[in-house]
Amino acid sequence: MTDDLHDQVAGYAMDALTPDERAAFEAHLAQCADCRDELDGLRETLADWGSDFAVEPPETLRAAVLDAVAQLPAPSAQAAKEPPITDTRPATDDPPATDTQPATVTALPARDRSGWERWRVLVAAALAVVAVIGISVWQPWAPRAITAADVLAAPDAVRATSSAPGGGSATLVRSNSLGRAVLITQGMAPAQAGTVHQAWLMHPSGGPTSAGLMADAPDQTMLLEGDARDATGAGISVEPPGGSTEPTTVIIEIGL
Amino acid sequence: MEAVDEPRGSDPVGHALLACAAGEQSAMATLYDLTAAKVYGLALRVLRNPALAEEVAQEIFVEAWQRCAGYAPDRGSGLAWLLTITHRRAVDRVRSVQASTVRDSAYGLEDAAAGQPDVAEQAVASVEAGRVRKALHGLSHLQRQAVELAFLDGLTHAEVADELRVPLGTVKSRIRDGVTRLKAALGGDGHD
Ligand SMILES: [Zn+2]
Repeated sequence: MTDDLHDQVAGYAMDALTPDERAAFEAHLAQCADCRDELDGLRETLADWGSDFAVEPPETLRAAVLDAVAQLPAPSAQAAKEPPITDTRPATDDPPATDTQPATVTALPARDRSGWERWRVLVAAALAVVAVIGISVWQPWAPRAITAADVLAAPDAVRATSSAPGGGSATLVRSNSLGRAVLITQGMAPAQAGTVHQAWLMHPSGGPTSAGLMADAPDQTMLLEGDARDATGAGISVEPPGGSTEPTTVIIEIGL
Repeated sequence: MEAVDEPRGSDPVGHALLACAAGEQSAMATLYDLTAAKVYGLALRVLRNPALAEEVAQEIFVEAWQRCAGYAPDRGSGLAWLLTITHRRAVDRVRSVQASTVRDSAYGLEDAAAGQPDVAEQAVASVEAGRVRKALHGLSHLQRQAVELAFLDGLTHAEVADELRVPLGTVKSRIRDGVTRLKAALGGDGHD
């Protein structure tokens, strides 16, 4: 992809992006403090420009607006019904936490299903979550963090599955437009006492980068840490508690 | 940093939004009186249809009421927040209308600046107007055409490229450079 997502900020501010581009940029915005700052500035500029076209509206509009609002609950009550991710911004410039797992992960079907069936159910559930969240996504200045569900639902998501020698399997799903990847494990043996499982991303050049420590569960869906754009694969290794900077004993590799 | 919940400087629109967020219905009247001409005018400029602009303006104020709890004064002015919603809604509506009716090819470049005759007559004098117009003249011809087609007519990058018969990549960079230049020209002597 030759287009750097940073470069879309002007097009986004001017609403010149297609719906797909807009969604991809909003996902980027949740991760990129530079673009959020840039966007804030552009919005002031465009508000100056937009103010140039001021025209007194028909007199009936005022009463129509105030009547409509009088029928509605107070904003705070309204906002409380929204998914919390859209309304809270950290006071710092750090993007919101990205490791929130969609609630659907706990609703995975029973283990005896075939991998493909499980996959379909998982994707359908993830899409449902995205559809609900999507309604409130675009609120100004409250970009939402990318979730595992976003990656699973991304139109450009690619995936690959490998079986672990010790039983179970792992599926890697990567979206270049979001720049993130998700690891889904099924029936994997848990880490032995005194060790942890650590996830890694493989890149076209350079060594593997840590993608985070895994939870101690045989079935999980994990949003991998780090930039996954153009990642060539992922792996899971056994590490001492706290993890390592380089993989020690790799127990499964998934190549894309 | 003190008083996080106070808008910086004097921002009456931001104040009204914060009061709305506190549930004060009367603040909505204040917000409306401060911004209705700008909201309606921008919607009208993008939509070019007074009835549609009125309908969309009402939706915008309702949305402002529902979303005002998300207004963060440390991120920008109340007006920028509200006109962001305004522009997004107007553009989305113009696209959904155009999805069912073929774009009127009479909306050429020349026409884009003129707007509807009565719009020009009714235009409220704005102290900002001269400043922005001057800044726009600092853009190259192609930059100006590209940013106007995108912002004022609600065209996507690809539609702007089509209209101007230049490659998509060129349009993207002209829009980016154009809006950056506009920002630089308006930046220093801005609000406050
Ligand atoms: Zn960025």
